[in-house]
Amino acid sequence: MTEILTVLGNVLIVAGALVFATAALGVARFRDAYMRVSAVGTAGGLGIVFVVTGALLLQPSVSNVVKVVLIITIHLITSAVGTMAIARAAYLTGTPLERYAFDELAADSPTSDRDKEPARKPAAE
Amino acid sequence: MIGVTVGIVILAVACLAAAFRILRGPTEADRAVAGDLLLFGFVGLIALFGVRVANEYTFDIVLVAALVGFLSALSLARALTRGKR
Amino acid sequence: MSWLTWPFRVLGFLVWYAGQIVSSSTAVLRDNLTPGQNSTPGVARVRTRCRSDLEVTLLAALITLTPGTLTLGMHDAPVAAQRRRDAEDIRTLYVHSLYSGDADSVRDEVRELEIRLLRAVRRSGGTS
Repeated sequence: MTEILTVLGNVLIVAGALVFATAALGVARFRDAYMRVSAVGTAGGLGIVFVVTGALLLQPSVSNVVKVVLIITIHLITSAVGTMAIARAAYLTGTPLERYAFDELAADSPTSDRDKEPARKPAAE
Repeated sequence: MIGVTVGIVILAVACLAAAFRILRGPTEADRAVAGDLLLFGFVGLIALFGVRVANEYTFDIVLVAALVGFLSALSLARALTRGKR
Repeated sequence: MSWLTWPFRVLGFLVWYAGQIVSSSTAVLRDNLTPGQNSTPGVARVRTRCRSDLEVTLLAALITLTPGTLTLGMHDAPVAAQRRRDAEDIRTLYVHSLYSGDADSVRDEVRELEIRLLRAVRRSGGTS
């Protein structure tokens, strides 16, 4: 029984680490800030859940189960909200969107805000 | 325990990628997002290291880190907009 | 009596959502691991049918958790308009998507997620 839990925990930990790896790849390779936020939002939410569940299976006890359920619930809610807050702040400060196929938010948003604070140029390398 | 070791290595590489993006930029939003990923990577690393050394307080620390991480993401967003909403 | 089936509806939704995550993360992975980028990013306006703040927050969080899509912002119709009109079309989400191609397919994807979510969370069932 313990062996099964150990193997399952290891598999979950590696799966969570792979989710993080996709996020790291996205952060390193995507073109603009919004695509990177998109990658991080997924990894932050799901990667932690996988890793912590895997860790729980390696150290199973009743009190740990309670803590992990709390961690997963809190984390799934807060990480998504935090990511959306950062994405919204990025848009409000005029971070440029690069090579977009369609952008209906620009058409809808009152132009005053973005005109007052024009997109900053990317810092010189 | 081989999975824990593999996970620690992959998470460390992910943290390095986030640190690279923080240094490189180019916009402030990129840096904020990479800081978010760095935090998530560290929470994962705490969990994995705690399991590896069989510490009984691992999940308490992760719970606190998850709560504080929410505040850090919100503060980063506020800092991006210069305190405006 | 539909509250009897409520836990099973939530469970069914979670299973469907897990499948969605697997399929869309393979799309992101394939694009990331192959050289070059073939993403077609864009931001689409999605009118939701959510009636309460809880429902629209859940929908936005689930969109953000899906690989490849991200909620950028949300717009409430003014209070006067909310009183005048029906519950629909009051809350608008702006969804950033990586691989959808055009705005209509983003709307279709979010609509499917929304219908399934509302069917699962509303105690009485039904989407309207």
